[in-house]
Amino acid sequence: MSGGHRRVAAAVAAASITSATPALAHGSVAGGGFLGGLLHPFFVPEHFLALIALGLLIGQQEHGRSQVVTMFAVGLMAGLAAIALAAGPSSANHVLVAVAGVAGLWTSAARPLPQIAGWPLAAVAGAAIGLDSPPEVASLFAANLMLVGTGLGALACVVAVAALVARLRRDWQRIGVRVAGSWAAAAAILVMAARLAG
Amino acid sequence: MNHSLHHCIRLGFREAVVATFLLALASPALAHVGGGAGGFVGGLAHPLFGPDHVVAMVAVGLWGAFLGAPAIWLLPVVFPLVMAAGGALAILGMPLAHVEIGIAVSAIVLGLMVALALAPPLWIAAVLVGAFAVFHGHAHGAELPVGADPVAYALGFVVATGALHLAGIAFGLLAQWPAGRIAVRAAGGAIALAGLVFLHAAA
Repeated sequence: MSGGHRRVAAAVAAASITSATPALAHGSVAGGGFLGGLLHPFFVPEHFLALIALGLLIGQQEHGRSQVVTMFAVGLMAGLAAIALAAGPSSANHVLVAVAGVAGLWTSAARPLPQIAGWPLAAVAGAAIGLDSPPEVASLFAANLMLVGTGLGALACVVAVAALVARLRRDWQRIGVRVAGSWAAAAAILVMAARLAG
Repeated sequence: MNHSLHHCIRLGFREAVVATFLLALASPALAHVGGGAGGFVGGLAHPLFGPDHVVAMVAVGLWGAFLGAPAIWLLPVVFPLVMAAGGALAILGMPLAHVEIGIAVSAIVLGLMVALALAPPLWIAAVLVGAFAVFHGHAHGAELPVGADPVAYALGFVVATGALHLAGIAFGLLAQWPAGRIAVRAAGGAIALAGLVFLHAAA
């Protein structure tokens, strides 16, 4: 395993070992703070679905992976900054489901992702994660810590999934990635229909 | 060759470990319950409690394995998407006539395709499976429980359907041996018979 991959695997392992007792509701993730923020993307189904789908898509690409991840990080920072500056409620949650659907469909098709599509998709996903992660803690300091944690947790998830997928070189593994993409897209289609139906 | 095989197993094992960590982290999100029978587990269980769904999903995998590449992977990639479209129709209140009959017929037709070792052109197989996927999806969509967390439930339900396909594919791979081919075709016959029973119940 290369040094970079060891770091990814170690980061994921550290997150899992230090994760607190699972919360069952969105608003009480590990008591807030940095750890709560770090785990937040894993506690919200829409966030997790979008991050997995995006990670699958990025990892599947032969070229330009780091640029797409960078755009995701830029969008994420912008979204978190907006929340820190007290941006109000938005439709970011719906946007995340749509991102999961698009990323999942593209992954199932196994087509190259052009820059003109990949960069905006990643940036929008990052911004939506940020905008949909208002910290629910009492103090400003804890809120900012939570936002930092959320950013790192979301970025780590996308990077870990993309790194994992990028290492899969055998035909049956690549097909498995396409199947996983279709599952993400299918789930997103059902969720969007449920939301449209009200 | 032993070194290569060992390397491949190690490669797959590492990836499986990382994937398991990610899933463990996500278990709170996937278990999110919105009151009533919701959440990932609820969605996972839903296709498994309908024997008509189970046999048809397994038959899709069986037939894909029987047809070989590219059907063996094309059908599990396309089926969830078309099924979700059928589910979306139901959720949006668009009716589809004779859903239960369509599901029973899917088991009969797909079972017979395997039992008779029929291998039509890929586009015909895809259209046939796609048409049946709409019926299955519509039935699942109409049964989405109120109060369920839609994301977790949808994920569970899609994963369970995919797992049934994989089970069918795994069994269908036995067809590469003469005795296995007989077993696979016999399974197709049993599925077709089960479909007749479901059709009788639905009619």
